[in-house]
Amino acid sequence: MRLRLLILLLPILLLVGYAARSEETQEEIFDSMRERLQPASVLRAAFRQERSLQILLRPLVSSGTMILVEGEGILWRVEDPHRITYLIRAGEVLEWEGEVGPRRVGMAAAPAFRVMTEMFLGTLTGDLDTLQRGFVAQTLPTQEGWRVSLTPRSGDLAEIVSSLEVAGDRYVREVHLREVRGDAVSFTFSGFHAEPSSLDASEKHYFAQ
Amino acid sequence: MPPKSITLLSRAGALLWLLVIAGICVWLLIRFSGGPVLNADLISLLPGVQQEPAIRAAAKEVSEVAERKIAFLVSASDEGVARQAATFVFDRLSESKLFVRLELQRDPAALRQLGSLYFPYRFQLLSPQTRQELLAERQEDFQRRLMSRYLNPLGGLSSGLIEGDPLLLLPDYLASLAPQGASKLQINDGFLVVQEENAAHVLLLADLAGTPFSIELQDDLAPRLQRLRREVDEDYPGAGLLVAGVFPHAAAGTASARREVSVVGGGSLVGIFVLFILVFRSIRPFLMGALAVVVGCLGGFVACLAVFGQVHLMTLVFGASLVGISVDYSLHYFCERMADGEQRTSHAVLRSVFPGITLGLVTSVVGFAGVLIAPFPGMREMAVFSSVGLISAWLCVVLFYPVMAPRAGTGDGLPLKWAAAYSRLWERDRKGGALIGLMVILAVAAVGCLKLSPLDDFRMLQTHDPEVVADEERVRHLLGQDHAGQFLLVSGDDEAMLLEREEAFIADLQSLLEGGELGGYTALSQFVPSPARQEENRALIAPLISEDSTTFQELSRTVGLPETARRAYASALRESDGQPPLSLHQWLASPASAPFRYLWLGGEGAPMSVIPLSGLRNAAALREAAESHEGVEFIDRVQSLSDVFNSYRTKTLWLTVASYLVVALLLAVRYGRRGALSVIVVPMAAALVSFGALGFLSEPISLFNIIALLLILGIGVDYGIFFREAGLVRPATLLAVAMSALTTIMAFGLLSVSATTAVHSFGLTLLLGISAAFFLSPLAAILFPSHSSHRATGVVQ
Repeated sequence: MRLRLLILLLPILLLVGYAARSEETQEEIFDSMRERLQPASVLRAAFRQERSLQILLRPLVSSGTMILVEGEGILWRVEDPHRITYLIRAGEVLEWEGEVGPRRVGMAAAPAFRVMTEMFLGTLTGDLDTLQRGFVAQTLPTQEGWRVSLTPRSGDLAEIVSSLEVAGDRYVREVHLREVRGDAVSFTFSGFHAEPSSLDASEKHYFAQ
Repeated sequence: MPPKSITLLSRAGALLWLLVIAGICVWLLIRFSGGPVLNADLISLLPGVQQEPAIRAAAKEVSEVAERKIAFLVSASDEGVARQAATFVFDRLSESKLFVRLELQRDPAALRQLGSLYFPYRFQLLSPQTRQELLAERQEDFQRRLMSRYLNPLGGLSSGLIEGDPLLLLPDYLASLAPQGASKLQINDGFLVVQEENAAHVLLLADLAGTPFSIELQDDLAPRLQRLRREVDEDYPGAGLLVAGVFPHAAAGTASARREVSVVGGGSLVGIFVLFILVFRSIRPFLMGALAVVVGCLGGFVACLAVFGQVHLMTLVFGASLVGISVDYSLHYFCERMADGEQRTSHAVLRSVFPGITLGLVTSVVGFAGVLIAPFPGMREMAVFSSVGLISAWLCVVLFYPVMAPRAGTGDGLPLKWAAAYSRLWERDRKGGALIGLMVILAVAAVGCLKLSPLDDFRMLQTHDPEVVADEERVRHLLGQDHAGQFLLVSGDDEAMLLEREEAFIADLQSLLEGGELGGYTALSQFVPSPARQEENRALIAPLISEDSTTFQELSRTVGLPETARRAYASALRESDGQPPLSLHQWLASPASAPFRYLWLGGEGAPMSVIPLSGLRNAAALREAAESHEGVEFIDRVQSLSDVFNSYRTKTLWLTVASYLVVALLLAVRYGRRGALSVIVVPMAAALVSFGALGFLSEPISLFNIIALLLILGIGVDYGIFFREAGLVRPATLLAVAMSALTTIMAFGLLSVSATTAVHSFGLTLLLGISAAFFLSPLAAILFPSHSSHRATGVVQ
């Protein structure tokens, strides 16, 4: 079923890719994002995640806080509906249920998992080099800040992601991901803090795993 | 002049021996064109491990498959460049036709194929964790893990997946199939990549078409790899190529063995040449000596070829040192002749050295024959090479020299004068001093012997090429794997029994895994559980799907899963009731199983499988676990080879002691009890001094040091015999022994610089032992002097 969807979507993806393929404007789009995003060694924010799966009666909503640590990864702490903490970094995801853990989840070797991890890290940390390699960008109109639509170029990424929309100002505030399989997920972030710029002991404990 | 009949007889003998040599040469030429003559497989040198034939055959098969694997890592700071360079390497290797399998890009469809193979059986394939939770009725743990999968920000969920598998059993199961521990290997667009240290390393896996020990294959592939390395270096900026596997070790071993054969053989010949020219001032003795050496080596080589079918390179390395020994017989002839001032005929000269060199030969061959009894292919080969080599060299001297009547050349007499000066130190009235000196030396040596420690590691046979080792360690570090050739063989009457035995055994492995005593394993039953296990799993899942299932209530409440989804899932479970379990054959037939098919060894009637182990730290515990399960056999090649070395080290030591006794008895027949003692004391003391010195040098003692003891016996006893025969320390004898010791020491000194621990140990032990034997050998004449010394003329010019 997934394959059929992919075959159906492929011409569209190719067309979109073609239309937007112009290296110079690509440089400009990513550069203007680079200019606006403000780097921080440790960035804290609240998140709300909304996953829309056709089969479910309602969107799967979860919320909590996250800590972005430059060069390390993301600590994703779900508070509602369950207390689950995920540490997401290149090549692996660790998971704690309450205080129990860590447990390694997912298959680092599986392309889908790796691609998603990379994209997630790339998007949230504003690692534009990763995004620029994998996507073709198109600027979307917006009242304040910036908003871009990203289309995967090829390879593993294009098999999973049909489109990605990212918006923000100094920080990334919204991420909307549409999957080839028809499901979608949105993240909205608020309450950013770049201070304190270091981790406390309990936070460090997670990253030390 | 000798009687005519003797001349005729000796002519006939010489002619016959010449014909034999010619025949050997012809046979050798024919043999050379009939297939490989040299063998480089170290394992073929070693005795087989005591095992059931079926187990041994299976273990051999598994090892041979593993030996043929080569891993190439193409690294570059930019992944694109690394991929290009890897593709270039792939193309070049494909052209070579030396591989049966080359894998650069994994088929992206494989994972999906695995999913579609397993999907119909999703109710009966459980991850070990899920199974444990359900068996222990810890449903709440199972539910918590299920929730965390649903809430994972990285997703991995889709409507299609939830529809078919709302409990997410299949993703959970598939994740449990990934190698335990954090594998750094990623699949990027099909390429296997490791990202580390700001560089991308692309993995290319290859299976050789033949054994890596084939010298033809090495000669073809090794230069290609060298060229490839250079081309990758030059054509792809910042890129590099790493190679790991058995092949680079094997190729480096062959290269160094070849180097050593030519250095040792060539070096010895050059040394002999210089020595002969210095002493005899004529080229003729050298040519005659070289004739004996060459015929000796030829004889040894052909004998090995005839007996064993092939000659191992290692035998050649050891055999090359024979050059220095086989020249001894010629030396005695020429020294005697020179000391004599060329007054006697060559017949007469030969007659006077004949008893000495013949007894020398017999004792050496007796020493080697002791080795022949041991069922150790490598040692037997060396024994045959050396025995036949020495006999051939001796025949040359005994049969050719009287007929060709070579003259020694007059020399300037200087070496003889030196020998005379030295021999005066060993006059009979100095016996007391010599005895005290001997005691002191032996006491010091005994202290050194106390410091000795054993070495039984199989790897001492391997060449330690720093480049090969560095590459291997780097690859191992990057791939995060350490397979030490340890695995389990499981057998059963049929497939179901085999899988059940695997499962029962794996249950016992958990404690080892948790204790960190075992890093991980891969087993067939992980991919295809036994029919019984599948039935059990279905029974565990059924209550979760019932109408009053708390799991589905939770899914409905938190996730919003509709009741229709549960009902569809329950009816799918019912429908699959009559379906036969997932079979091994289905899995084997699926393209998705390709990387793991090697786990299945097949076998008509009695199928077998292999469970490779990694990161094993407690082999004893694992062996114990394997012994308590029927049909499970733990195979640890390095350990079993080391055990072999250990057991043969002890056996050979006793064999050596026995050889010394047999030789002493032989000597007693000719010299009487006391005479035999004074001769045998030479090699015995030399052996003790050699081991004592090794102790002081902190050199470990392996099987190869013990084999060297046998040679010290063979050679040291010769030196003793030569002096005993002379009856006193004659300058001619001393000169002959000195020259023969020098040539021998040269050969073994060259061996002791070998890159292979085994060869180094062997060479060094002999270097020390033969030096000691030379210095102590005059004792044989003066310790218990014979009352009727044969010819106490003490010729001095």
